[in-house]
Amino acid sequence: MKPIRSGPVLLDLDARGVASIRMNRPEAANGMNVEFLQALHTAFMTCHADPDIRVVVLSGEGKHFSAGGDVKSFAAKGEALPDYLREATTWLQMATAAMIQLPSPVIASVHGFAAGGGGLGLVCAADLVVAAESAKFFSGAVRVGMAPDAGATVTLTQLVGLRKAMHILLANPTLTAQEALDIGLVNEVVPDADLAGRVDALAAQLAASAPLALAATKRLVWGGIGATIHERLPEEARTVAELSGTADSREGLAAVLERRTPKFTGC
Amino acid sequence: MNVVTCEDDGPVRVVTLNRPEVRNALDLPLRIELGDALERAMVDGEVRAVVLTGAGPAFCSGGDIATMVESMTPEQIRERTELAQRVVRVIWTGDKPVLAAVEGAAFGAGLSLALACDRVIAASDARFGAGFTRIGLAGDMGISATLPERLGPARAKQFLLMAQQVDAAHALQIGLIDALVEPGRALTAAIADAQRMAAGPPLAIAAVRRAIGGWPRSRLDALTVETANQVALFATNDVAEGVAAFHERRSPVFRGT
Repeated sequence: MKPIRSGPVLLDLDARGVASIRMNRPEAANGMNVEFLQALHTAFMTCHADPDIRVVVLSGEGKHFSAGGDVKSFAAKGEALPDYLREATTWLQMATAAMIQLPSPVIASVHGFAAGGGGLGLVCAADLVVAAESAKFFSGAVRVGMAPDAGATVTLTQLVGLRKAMHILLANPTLTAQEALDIGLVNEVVPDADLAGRVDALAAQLAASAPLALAATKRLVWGGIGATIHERLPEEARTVAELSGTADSREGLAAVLERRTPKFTGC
Repeated sequence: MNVVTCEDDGPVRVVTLNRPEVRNALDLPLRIELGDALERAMVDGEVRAVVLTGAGPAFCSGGDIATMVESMTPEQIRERTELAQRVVRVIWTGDKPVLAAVEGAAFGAGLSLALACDRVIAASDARFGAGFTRIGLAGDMGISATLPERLGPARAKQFLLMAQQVDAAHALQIGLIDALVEPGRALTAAIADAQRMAAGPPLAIAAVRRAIGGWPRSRLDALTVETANQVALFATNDVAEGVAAFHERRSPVFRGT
């Protein structure tokens, strides 16, 4: 994989298979404009193309995860805003879909604000979320006369339930990290200074897990949204049977019996 | 005598309902044996396609009214029904195509069973009927899914509400079945079609069955499913073989890997 070392979204991959996608418009609180969203989409598609990637960490450079849509760019568009937003939203939705369909799990590492359809939406579309103690979550789409995007009208409802999702999206409360944890919007809250370390430890754990098993589980869980259990039971059965034939499954079974740490290869 | 017999024609497993004296009515033992036989076919690595047919002059006359007794408890009815539903579940969740070869009658649950298959080939004198409501029932073995798939919901409802019977030519015309052959030729024709599917790429065939079997789904969800199939299949040896055979102008040999 070719790392992306400059521009509005950075991408890197380490030897463990941990890819990091860093939103890089700190001067605009990682506000999302078309150029930024195209870069975000490119970063996720680059991950799709790389079999060495085991896990992706999504984070923001500067003081915030992301403030969501870039209000300054939007206001400057005047009459042309609907056309601009159609383009922006298309890229955002494609980036979101690429993130959800990525075989590897995506961990969002959140500090500062995760706001707007985009910022909060990406948090909702991530597979796992670790938040710094001082992180804040805020929707804000209706405050600027718009509606949530990045799939938040589906994902947030799944995560926290319809009643709380409505409140978050309609009344725009600012949620603290602890509140986000209490309602199930994030997995963990850690002291600000420990965020990077904790995310790295979680990423390392997932990177050492059986990639095909993680990918299948992620696919089954996302695919299960809106499906009936009777539809999904055979899908689960097929997947389990298929995975049981992999070298990693044999390795996992042997390691349990031999009480040792398994070494997975992704085959 | 076995109420279900199985015979292999190369990679094609022919599963025959074998109660000709009652036109292959689906009593309890037949439901169990049929489910077992289909399950074995689905997991047998040598089998690539299945043909389902009936011994004697009829395909299947349905649920065996003679064995339905008033004294049956709801629990017994549930078990009896679930044993029939299991047959359809095995067909639908398995990875191998199933073809129905119909001679004579396919009535009631017998029609359901034929329609649960991926392709229905019938003799020109075959007859199809959905008489469930005549005995106060509403239909089972997937008929409420397969009939609307084949006829559209409005016509499917008419078919069931009017307890319609159609001959094979009409059945072909309205899309209830897929092919017509001369009387006595249904099995031969079905095996020939099954051989053709058996020579195809098993993983792609399984993917097609799953993609279409999940219908109706939203068009946009269909795009996502197609992408996933495309990604999964592109890396298989069978695609490499298919492309190579195309360039070399020869028939591909698919192995399901």
